[in-house]
Amino acid sequence: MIPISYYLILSTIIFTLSIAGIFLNRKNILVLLMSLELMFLSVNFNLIILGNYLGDLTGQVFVFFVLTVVAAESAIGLALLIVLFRNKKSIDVDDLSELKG
Amino acid sequence: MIDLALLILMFPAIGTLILLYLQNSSRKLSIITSNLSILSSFLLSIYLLFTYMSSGAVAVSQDVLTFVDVKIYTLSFGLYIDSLSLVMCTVVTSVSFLVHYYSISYMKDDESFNRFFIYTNFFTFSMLLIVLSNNFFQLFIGWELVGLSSYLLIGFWTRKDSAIKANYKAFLVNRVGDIGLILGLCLIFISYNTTDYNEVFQLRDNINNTTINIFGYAFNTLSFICLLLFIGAMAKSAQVPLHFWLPDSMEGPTPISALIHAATMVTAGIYMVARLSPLYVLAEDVSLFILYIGAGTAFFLGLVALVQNDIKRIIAYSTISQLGYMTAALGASMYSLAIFHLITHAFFKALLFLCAGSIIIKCHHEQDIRKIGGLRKFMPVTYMAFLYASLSLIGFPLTSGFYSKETIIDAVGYYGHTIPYIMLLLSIFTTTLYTAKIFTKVFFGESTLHSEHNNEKTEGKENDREILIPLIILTAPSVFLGIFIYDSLMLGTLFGTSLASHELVISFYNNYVINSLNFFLHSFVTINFLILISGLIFGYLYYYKKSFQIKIPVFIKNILIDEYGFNKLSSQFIPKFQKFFTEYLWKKIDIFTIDDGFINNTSNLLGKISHKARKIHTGYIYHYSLTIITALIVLLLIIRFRY
Repeated sequence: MIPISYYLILSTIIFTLSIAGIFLNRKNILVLLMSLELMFLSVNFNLIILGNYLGDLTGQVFVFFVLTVVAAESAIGLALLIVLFRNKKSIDVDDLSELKG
Repeated sequence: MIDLALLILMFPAIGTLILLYLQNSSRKLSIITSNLSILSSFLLSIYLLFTYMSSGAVAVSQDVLTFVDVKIYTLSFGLYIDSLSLVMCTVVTSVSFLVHYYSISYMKDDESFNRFFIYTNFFTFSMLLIVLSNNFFQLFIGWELVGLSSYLLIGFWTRKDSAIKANYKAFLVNRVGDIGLILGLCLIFISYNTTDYNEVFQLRDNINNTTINIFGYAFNTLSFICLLLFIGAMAKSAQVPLHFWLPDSMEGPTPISALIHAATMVTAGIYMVARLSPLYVLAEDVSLFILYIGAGTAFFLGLVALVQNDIKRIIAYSTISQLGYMTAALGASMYSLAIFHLITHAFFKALLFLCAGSIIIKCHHEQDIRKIGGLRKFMPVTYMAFLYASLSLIGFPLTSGFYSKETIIDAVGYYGHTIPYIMLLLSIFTTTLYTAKIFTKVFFGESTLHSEHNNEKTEGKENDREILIPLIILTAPSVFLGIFIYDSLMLGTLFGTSLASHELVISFYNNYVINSLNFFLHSFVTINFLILISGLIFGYLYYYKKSFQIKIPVFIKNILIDEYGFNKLSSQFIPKFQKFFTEYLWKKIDIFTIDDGFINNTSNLLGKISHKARKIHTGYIYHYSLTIITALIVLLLIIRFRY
């Protein structure tokens, strides 16, 4: 039996990696979206592990809902990305600096 | 009696109102209204004066109308009728009427003829308001109205630049005096809680012992009130530090100069001090100050007249000098003498000015006496009138001016005020000299004007009848009034109780004068007469015969032309100081401190801060997300360790 802490550490590592992917990624906005996806997965992983550990099915069922929402969200994100690319001819993160004051 | 006295005041007031409506109508209506209103006022004053004297001479002070009536204070419009106010009314209205009559011809070529009469009527009304008032509030209103109407009249020729400057100057100098007057009135109200003359006079002893603290120094309240009010009188009556508006007021039409100098404006200050004589008689230190101011004015400003060449300016300086005599008499606590000189001066100075007007109009508005000359042949009536007025001015025995002026000089000497006495004595000499100067230059010698304006038809003739009749009428009081009222005035039967401290004059009369005839005979052996005669001989030799030349040192002449620096003070120093001060306020305070300092600095500072702060907004998503996550972590840590 693998101790639960291993699972939790794995999920934390994945989460940290995804955050680092958002912060440190200077090139591609696709990578950004992928990092977001990874962040969701690490959280879902937590839900499944803890649901199993506590003997509660709610956690595992909730994951389906979350995944649905994530799929919809990433679809929207990709759609936005296409529009953005059409306008700017670039998906470079450094070019998307129009939010500044 | 009150009703009739009210009518004296109301005639010019109603006249003014009617004239305002007649402004655009015919001249004839305007002439009739203005002259009639002043004439009826004059006749009423004479009638009232005689009934008053014959009916036992009891002073009446009565409120006619109440403006404000609150618990502690009543503000009312009232009349004070006694011989002083009635005599003043008579003098004011008589001179004013003659000036009005004279102006019909004098102003006939002026396009704003009707406007002139509105102002003169209003001027007379304002002066009568001062004369007849029975409380300080009304005095103040009249005082300001006189200031206003003099402003309007001095600047009557609104297109003349110098006239506008002159009326501005007169107004400003009078404002300076008004500061004193207003402060004095406030102090009276604070100390007595009333503004009625009679109530104040009754309470006068109560606050004679109280003191008032100003900047840490204690002053006697009554003395301080008297001093403040006298500052107001100094500006109105053109005494030394505040006199310099009067010569410039010559920019107005000549009848106005006569009105201002004789009846309606400069006498207001003298009248006020005489009216408040029960207060002034207690303030001995202030009286001494007044005496020195008066004597100094009489002497020093008389000297200035010697270097002037404008006929009206010479007479104006002579007015200041004569007002100095009146002020000196006030300072010596001989109020009836001051009023006596005021009356005689009003007549002979009005006569002098009207003669000057007659000369000026004949010489096509040339006022420089160096250019005028030889008018004796052309203008016999003006010549005679001017001669009598001059004799009265220099105090030639038996004339009105002799009685009033010599009495003041002798009385000041009799009561042992040595320095003022000497100044007043020397002033006789200067008076004689400048009178001789005008007289010889204008009526004798050669005119340089004839070649310039060579129209033979009018040259040989005298002026119109309207101009000459007032001259002839005014000659009578200028010469004979003094001897008629002298004895009754000195003995106190004329003014009775309306002026304080009459004992001084009576004892002077009993010990020195004895009677008018004796005073006349005695005058030939006094030093006054010696100075007068020497002045006349000197003037005759110097100005008429030109038997010798005197070189006045240039620096003395410059001092005199500059009026001891007062000209510079008013024309250069004060404007410069004011300009400097306002520029300081404008540039340093307004622009530098407020605009740049407070307002622009605040916005600049905010701009700088936000300029720096906006650099945080890089626009990169990963910076924002880093901030969000860091903040979240910090928040979680805080929550974790706080709770």
